[in-house]
Amino acid sequence: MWAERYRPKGIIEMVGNEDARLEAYRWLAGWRQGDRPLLLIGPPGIGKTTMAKALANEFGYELFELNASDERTKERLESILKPLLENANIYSRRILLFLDEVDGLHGTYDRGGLSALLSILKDAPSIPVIMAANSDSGEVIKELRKVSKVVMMKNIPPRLLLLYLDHVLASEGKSMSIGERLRVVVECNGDVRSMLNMTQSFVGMGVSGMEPISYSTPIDAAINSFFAAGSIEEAVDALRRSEGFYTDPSFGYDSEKRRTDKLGALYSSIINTSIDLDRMARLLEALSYADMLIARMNKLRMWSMLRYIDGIIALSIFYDSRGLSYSQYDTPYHLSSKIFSEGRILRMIVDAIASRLHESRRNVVAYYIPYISLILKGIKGSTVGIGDDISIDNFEDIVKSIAMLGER
Amino acid sequence: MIRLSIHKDFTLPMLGKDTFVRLMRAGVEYDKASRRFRIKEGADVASILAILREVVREEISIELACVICGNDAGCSGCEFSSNCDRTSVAGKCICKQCLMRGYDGYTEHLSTLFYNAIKDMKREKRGKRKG
Repeated sequence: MWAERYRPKGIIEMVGNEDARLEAYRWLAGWRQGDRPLLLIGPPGIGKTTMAKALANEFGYELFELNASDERTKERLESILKPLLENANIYSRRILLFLDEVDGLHGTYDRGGLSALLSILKDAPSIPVIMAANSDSGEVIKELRKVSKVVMMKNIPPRLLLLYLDHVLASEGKSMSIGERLRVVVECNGDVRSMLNMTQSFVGMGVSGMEPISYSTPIDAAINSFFAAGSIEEAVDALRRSEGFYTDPSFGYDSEKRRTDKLGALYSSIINTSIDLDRMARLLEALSYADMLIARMNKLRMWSMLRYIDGIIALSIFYDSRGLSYSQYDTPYHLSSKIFSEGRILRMIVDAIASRLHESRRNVVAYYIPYISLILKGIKGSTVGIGDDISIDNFEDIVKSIAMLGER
Repeated sequence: MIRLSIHKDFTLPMLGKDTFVRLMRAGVEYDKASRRFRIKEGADVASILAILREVVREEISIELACVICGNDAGCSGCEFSSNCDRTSVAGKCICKQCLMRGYDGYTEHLSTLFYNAIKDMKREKRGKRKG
């Protein structure tokens, strides 16, 4: 993946946000034990992680990277960070701690995660700490701002993106017309990663000179050519095209969202056919695995693995999907709206319980809701159990039953 | 139409206390000695523009600075002018002349900038120690 191959190794090799980079560079160059951590705030894809990696590389630090939105609870954060901070000098290794997505922490649901992080940061950390957040608002950022040196980063101006794109294309020995380059730069919305992914899929389609038609390969044509492909190689090629530049994507223009669109298009095509249920189950199972794989690759930032996804999908659904055709219609509306409204009510109940009991929503769903459901069923006078049926109509009954439970 | 260069000082008519405070909160600096204003790096440019539009009652367009030569980047004649939201991008871009120097010219300029910044830091430290 070009996004990985051309990830700058040094801070000078990056583009855009020059003042922010200089500030961060000065911060690490002059860093002494007890200095405030650095908090980078800016939209995704503009180089916060790259900056932390480049800084570590430039000053000879070993980067210890942690995604704060995964390691959320007080226990988890303390068990990982405390030994690291207390023993950093023992191993005579220069360690730089990078906490990504700190805005993903939640004060209430994450059982003291935020306060644990704040107390660790206030205790004059023995190693430099860099944190990154996508959003500048919210309780977590407000608190972290008080104990950090804040560096704001913004989207990269399009002309600088063009400069970088030209450099990458020249290094790859590829060419695109000026119109195509401008279009890629405009469509990526200041996100370098997205720009490189788009360009790679653009150039990698094997269309010489990049005819303008490749911009607008409609999703229906791409998916239909997948279903009509005579060999797996052709099917892989068709899937690759479907990630290209079709018009009106439902989820968005960056490559990650286009991938979601592609899976969505395959899904809606599969469920709207009259094939036998076993075959449909196999197809949906394969799509589900692909979806999970993509989510894991994105979460672990293993973008270099994403190139295998088209092959995996094509291989796993090729034989079962012969004879299908594209359909844009997803789950029938009356069904999806019911699922949505019921999910909404359940979420409201889960939110209320999580907030009252200082628990994470995940735990409430996993451990509390089944018992509450059982208890509700056993209450005399209760007309409903959550496990039975939840809908707008009996929402009041559920609330009454929970109130009765509280009284007892 | 008023053109406001994002990295240059500018003057304003008397604002009144409330507007002045709003501007400061949105990320504008005021230099008492020269009585000039300046937009800080990372400031909320969209809010600043909204406040300034109220004050001057005229349309204001933002002009980014060139990261290499320091002059205006030439936003009005830029090929991306209709697609670039200058209130949400970083304040420094690159002008057409400097763009001709390519990526190597850009990194060359930055390495000088970073080298000088570290040199200044060291000088400052030495000065403090002597002082």
